[in-house]
Amino acid sequence: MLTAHSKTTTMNQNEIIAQLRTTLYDVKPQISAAIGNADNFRDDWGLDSLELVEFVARIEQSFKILIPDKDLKELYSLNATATYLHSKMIAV
Amino acid sequence: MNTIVITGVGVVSPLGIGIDVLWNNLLSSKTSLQHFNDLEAAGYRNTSACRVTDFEAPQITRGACMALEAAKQAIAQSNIQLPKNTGIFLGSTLGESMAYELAAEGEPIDPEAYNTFSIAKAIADTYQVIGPIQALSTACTAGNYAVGAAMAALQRGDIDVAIAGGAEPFSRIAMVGFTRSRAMAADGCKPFDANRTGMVLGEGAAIFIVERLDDAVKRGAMTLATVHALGLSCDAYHPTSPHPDGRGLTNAMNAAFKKSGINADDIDWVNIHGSGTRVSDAAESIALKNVFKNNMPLLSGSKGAIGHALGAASALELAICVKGIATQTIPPTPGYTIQDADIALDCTTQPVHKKINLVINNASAFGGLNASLLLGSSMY
Repeated sequence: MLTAHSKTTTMNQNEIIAQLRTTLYDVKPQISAAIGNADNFRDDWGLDSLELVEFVARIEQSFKILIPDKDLKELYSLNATATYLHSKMIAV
Repeated sequence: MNTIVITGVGVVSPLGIGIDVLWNNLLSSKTSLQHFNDLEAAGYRNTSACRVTDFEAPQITRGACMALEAAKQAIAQSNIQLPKNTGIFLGSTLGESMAYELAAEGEPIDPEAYNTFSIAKAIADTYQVIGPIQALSTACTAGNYAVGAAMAALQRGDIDVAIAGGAEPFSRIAMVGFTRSRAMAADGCKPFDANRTGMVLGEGAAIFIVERLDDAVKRGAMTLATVHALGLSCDAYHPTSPHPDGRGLTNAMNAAFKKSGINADDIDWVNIHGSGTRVSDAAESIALKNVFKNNMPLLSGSKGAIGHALGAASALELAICVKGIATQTIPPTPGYTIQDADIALDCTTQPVHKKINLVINNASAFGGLNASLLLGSSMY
């Protein structure tokens, strides 16, 4: 089950990443602004399972989208997360 | 050291009110899991749970009402006249969580009046007893903690009788929290199973009459089980995940053996915590291998049948252990069908009739808490 907010359908990949960065800092303020778009949330920046699910919950709220458990593994970096969201918007 | 025994059990569970109803349904591998329209109407992502559908109570005091019903059953079974210094030992994760929701919505409610202590106090007020009260909010280990605390108070001689156990009304706060943390099962709780996907929320209460063996014998009471020891530990690792090397439950079970002087090789049955989440079951399986090595007792779990009742969970499962000892039967594990290659341990799939002298009741909780209660037959 997945629906995309009309706003996100007009966002490009860079705009989505910018919003994801803001969300990520909100979840873990200690994370450096130097985080690269391809950096792995868990391996490179030490996000634990609780921080990751909080990050995903906030994505769901801000992008008005439902992300099933089986898709969580696809959300491992800013690039990957933006690509995932973009693909879902195209698929809608 | 005084021997401590259980002489009465009372249960309010999603599989039935009263231990015999729960037990018979469990032996038939029934599950109480069902879809709830009210959860769907309110927009919950997970709309299935194990709730006590045949128990009516005011929502704001549902936990206390369930505890009082269970206490009434336990007192009746024990056939005891409660002494004035009876102690109350009650575990719950959230207490009356509906009160917190209503307070948040602007209702003139003092949430402090509905915490775990309020449930314990309701029992004390109802039976007009003035012994010590302990309210234990140790999350999903709270039932075991409560019975262990009762045991300690009886051994110290602080009290002559204890009413101990756990109570947890269905909590929408918990429903949302566990959903948000991605801990909920997609299709039912499957303890230790290869295809497990998470937990299912439950509710209920289980209350025990606990006393010294000498006193029970003196008044001619029937002893149902002996409480040998409570082993406690903390992972000190992560707010929600157990340490993956299983050190938490390993330490808790070993603590129970050390306190009681009983050897792991003598354990006949382990009632696993078996929440059905990937990481919790994996950690518990490692702990079991650490402790029992090549002499693994039979394993069973009941959260596939009654859900996870949080602070009441280990109390409800302790009631199942007591009934199992009394009938010399280990129940099946609803939800378990396929062995997980990584866990490499089997759980019961049918009732097993065998000599049961000693059983471990495992419980783990958020915060890294672990509590293993070591229980024995009244003859052991």
